[in-house]
Amino acid sequence: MSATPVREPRRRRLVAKRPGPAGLLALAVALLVLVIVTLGAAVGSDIPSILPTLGYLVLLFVTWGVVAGVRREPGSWLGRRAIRRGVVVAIAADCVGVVATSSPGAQLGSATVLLLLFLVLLNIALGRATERMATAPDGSVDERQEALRNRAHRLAYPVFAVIVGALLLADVVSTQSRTWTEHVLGSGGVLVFLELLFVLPGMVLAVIEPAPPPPEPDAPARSRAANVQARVAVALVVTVFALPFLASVGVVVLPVHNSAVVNTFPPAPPPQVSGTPGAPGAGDEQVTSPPCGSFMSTVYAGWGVSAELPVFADACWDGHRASTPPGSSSTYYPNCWSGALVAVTTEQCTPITTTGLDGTLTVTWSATVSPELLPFLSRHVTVQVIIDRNGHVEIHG
Amino acid sequence: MTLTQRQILVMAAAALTALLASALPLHGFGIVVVVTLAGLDILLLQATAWLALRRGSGLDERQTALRDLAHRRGFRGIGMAVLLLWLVWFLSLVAVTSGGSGGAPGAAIDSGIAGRILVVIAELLIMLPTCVVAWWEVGTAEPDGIAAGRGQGGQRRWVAWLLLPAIVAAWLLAVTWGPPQSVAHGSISVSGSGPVSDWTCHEFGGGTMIGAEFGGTVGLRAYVCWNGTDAFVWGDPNLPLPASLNRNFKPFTAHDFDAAMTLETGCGLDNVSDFAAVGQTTCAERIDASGTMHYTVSARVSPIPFGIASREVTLDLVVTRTGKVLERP
Repeated sequence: MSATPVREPRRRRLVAKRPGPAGLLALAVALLVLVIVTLGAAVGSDIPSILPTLGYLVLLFVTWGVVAGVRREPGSWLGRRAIRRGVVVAIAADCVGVVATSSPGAQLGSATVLLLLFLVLLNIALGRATERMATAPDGSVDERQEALRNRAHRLAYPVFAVIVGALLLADVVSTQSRTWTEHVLGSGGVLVFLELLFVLPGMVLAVIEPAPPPPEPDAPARSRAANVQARVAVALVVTVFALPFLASVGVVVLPVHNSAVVNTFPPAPPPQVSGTPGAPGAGDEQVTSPPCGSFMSTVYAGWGVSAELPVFADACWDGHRASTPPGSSSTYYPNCWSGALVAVTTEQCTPITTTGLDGTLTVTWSATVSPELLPFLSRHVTVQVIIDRNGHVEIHG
Repeated sequence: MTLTQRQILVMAAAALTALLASALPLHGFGIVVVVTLAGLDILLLQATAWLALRRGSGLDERQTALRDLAHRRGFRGIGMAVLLLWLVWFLSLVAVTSGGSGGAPGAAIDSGIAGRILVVIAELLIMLPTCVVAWWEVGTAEPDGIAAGRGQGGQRRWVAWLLLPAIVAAWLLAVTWGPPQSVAHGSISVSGSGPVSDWTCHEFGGGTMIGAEFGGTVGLRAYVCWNGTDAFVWGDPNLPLPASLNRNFKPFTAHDFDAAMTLETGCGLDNVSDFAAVGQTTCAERIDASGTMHYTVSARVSPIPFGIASREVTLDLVVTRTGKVLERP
């Protein structure tokens, strides 16, 4: 077979799109998230608890888009060979950490979540450092880059095969090694597999790509718009990583808030006999039914990162005192406290019910909550549903 | 070999890979599929002059570029291939279970990644770049000499086919002489009170694997109850109930048996016979005078038809009348 002559490579560098409305959109989304969180925390309104999560996801996607649109300048510090290789080593170490810190079938622990967040950051850095050459469309790379990324894939292929092959081998060798394989695949192993599947060629590329040439002295200065977009991108990345930690602090410092109190099916009121001895008509006992209610709400400690408790209380009142109707269950909800990225260390699921001298019925739950991202912080939360003798309900946290 | 012939080979290899990835039963003939697949792979490798697996020293620029491009496309194809094969598995599972020939729902034993899936993954990892070269490369990728089948190239052609008997020999060795491996209990774990309030019941599962994923697995699945007087298997109409129970308990209905067998107890439900036939499965229960239950599952694992080189596998489960487990697989 004869070799075809090597053509002069097209010197077409990866060209990023010019900054468009993405930056403004990202700012708008970030502002929206901020407003939702702040407003909700301030007024304890009935904004659905899913909104902060949705807002965060939107922010993630927008950040991804804005970062993808930022052009890397030749000679930038992230493009330096040593930095690139450092990022690759950090990704590899992070993957090992994800597998080591996660356990099969269980919810991801705080250490694993942190490592995954860090992995996302490293992936963004790797993409920037290699200009996402490994996954760029064919039309946007020149011949040199095409050859380089093909070579990176060829080198990555056996590395990937060896890693996966080791897992397959472990599945065959013995019962113990098969158990280990199951453990790895059942925990963070799948995430690491996906990471390698999508990012390993980029990692190899970061290692083998030659050092970038120094910037030419007469090179045109970076445009103002590009600068703005780069700064927006940095700000968004910082926001994406700071928000979970800020929200974790919120678990400890923000006031407890609750959704609107709903009065569901009222329980059957206990019959009461009324009548005044000696009065006209004495002896004609009259059976009356005091008003009753079943009050439900959900109490939150924190926003986005939060612990939540569904509260439920049955009560009847007659103007003198409020009381729990007979037969009302004392265990209101079996799942009790739950949390997103929040550990509930001690909890009281069966509420304590007391009646005050003024006839007020108080139902009390408590728990100690701690954000998983900042496990050294904790807070004791006491939730009280207070029903006065006239049936007015308040929730205090 | 022409481009069309190579593409036919690729499609044939893909079809066999899909068969292995599917949930269709192989009835002990998995090794035939694997050897056929390996034969197709050798043909593909020879048709592409082993380009995807060759080092760079003997390649010209065009071959090097083609090899690297094939690896890039192959790497990108792994994820798509895994997705497609998962779809094949899912659809075939639906077809098999709706046809009434499926096994038990859930899994009482956890035998890891099945041997047929291991082969599928290995096939993807080893052969995808070669398939890319075979599918897209117009003209021959073979350097001079190899195409003509002369000299060192010709010898390589001949040597490669030795892989097939080597695979069969390794498989036969593993199934006939390899140490049996214990298989853990699966994800299902049912425990609690039985159909009668003073019973306590627990599901036991486990098994023994012959040939390390490439042979057969004999599984045990039993829902065992105890009432202080006897321990016994619940839900298998073929097993006798203890005498102490028969005095107080009305006989089962057919519906009881069906429900119990489907979920909790089954004889041979968890056997895996992709690469070796698992037959003559018997499940026997004996309750001794002290109320201790001895439940025994035995089966014959045969890699070759007519019982040649077969191995007997026996699993024992012993539970006392108080629920203490004395022996389990």
